[in-house]
Amino acid sequence: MEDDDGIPGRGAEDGEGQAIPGDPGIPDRPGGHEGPGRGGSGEAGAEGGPAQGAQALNAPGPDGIALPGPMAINPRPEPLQFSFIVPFRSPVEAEIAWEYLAQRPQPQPVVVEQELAVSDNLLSIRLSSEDPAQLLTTFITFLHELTLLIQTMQRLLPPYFFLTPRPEKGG
Amino acid sequence: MPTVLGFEGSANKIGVGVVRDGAVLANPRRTYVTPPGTGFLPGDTARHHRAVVLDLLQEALTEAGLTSQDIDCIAYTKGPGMGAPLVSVAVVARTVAQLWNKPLLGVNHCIGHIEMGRLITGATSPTVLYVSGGNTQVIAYSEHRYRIFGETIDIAVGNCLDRFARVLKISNDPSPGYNIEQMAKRGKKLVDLPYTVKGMDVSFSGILSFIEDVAQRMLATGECTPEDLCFSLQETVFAMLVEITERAMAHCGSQEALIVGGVGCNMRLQEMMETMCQERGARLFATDERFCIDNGAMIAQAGWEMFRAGHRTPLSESGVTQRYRTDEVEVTWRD
Repeated sequence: MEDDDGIPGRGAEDGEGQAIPGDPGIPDRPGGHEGPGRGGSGEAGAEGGPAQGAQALNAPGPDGIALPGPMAINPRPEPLQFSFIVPFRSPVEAEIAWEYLAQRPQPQPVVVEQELAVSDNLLSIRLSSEDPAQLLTTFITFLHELTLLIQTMQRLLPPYFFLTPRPEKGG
Repeated sequence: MPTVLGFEGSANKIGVGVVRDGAVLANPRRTYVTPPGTGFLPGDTARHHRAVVLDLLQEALTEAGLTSQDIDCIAYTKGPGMGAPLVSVAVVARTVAQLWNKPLLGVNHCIGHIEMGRLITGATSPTVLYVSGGNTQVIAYSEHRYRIFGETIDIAVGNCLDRFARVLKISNDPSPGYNIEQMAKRGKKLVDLPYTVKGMDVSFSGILSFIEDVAQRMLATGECTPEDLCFSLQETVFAMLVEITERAMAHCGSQEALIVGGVGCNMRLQEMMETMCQERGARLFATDERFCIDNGAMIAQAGWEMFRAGHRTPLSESGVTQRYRTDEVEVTWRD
């Protein structure tokens, strides 16, 4: 299923009428092999933000009153994250896309971390950065790249790659 | 007998070419043209390239009468150029290489021009004047590098011409430089403009600032016509280029000059260079618009040379770079 821009969307069901994991609001991540870096929960949507600063307290004095000590240095804010899952028409396409995205060169220095994982026909992606502007820019660029990658595959791969195998009828 | 497929898209032209053993089998191209008075922006240009690149690929294969199995290597423009357009083309090249399981080669755009110029003209070891919208360099080969003997210290000569075209709202179709050339042929008056040569280098930002500043006033007072300004600008900037090329030829003792790059299509520039070469007893080489202007076959040709010399670009190193100097590449395919 694709939107008007040709970007693969997230269908509600696969060909067998079963819900595809990773629907918005359902933290999930398909099992399968992963790209560079570690995998994590596949929550849809952005999360994270600056942690609250904490003020250290001295041990209580003779009068039992604990006085505030020197201000603690604010801990490093957690990076912003954006996760999404792209369904492909076949596991082969997903595998090719994962292989391409995992190996392609990253801009240096790395400001936005990318985590990739593929399972069956689903490619899950998580982008994380402390810089929201960079995160947005990278996401947009990533979508352009992914769209072009998919269009190229669809144009060049033989049709049989896109056939979804049907389960045998059982008795 | 390797066959190389080349992708070019560093500026507003996107091309896909096929080259086999010195023969150009296909070379389709598209140009992103903007309205008069405007230039092309990276995002819009990239969008244009994304929309047409796969059609061009199909067109190239059909024109060459080849399939994926006939291709031995995929070459693409690694740089220099505009970031977003470069990336758009690189994505397709990488994907094609991966799907077809072919080696990938990142090519320097400037070297693509040089190698195509050498192939088409047969020049053996020329002093190269590389002039385009994005680059202006005087280059000569020495010890496995294309050495830059002189260059612009600010903007390229083609950029100067293109931006002047915007001032006069000259059409960008087919290119602003071409339209300036046609208008210059009707120019009668030579307007005195800043001439800036600094040793082996040139500068065009000053002359552009000057002519942008005085153009409207001079036209309004009837002091000159737009054709006069086009003529004057060409005469001045081209004379600067001829001077630094001649200086490099004298330094190298070169008897050949080769013009490459989109501005190299300009017949007046070729005429002025020919005069200089004749005075020196040297020979001038130039190509036509098929190969002067950015095209995919030039990338394929440079890729062909590199492929035969054993160069390969792993996928992990197949990025693009907006600043990629001509002399960064080790030219292992020449003695």
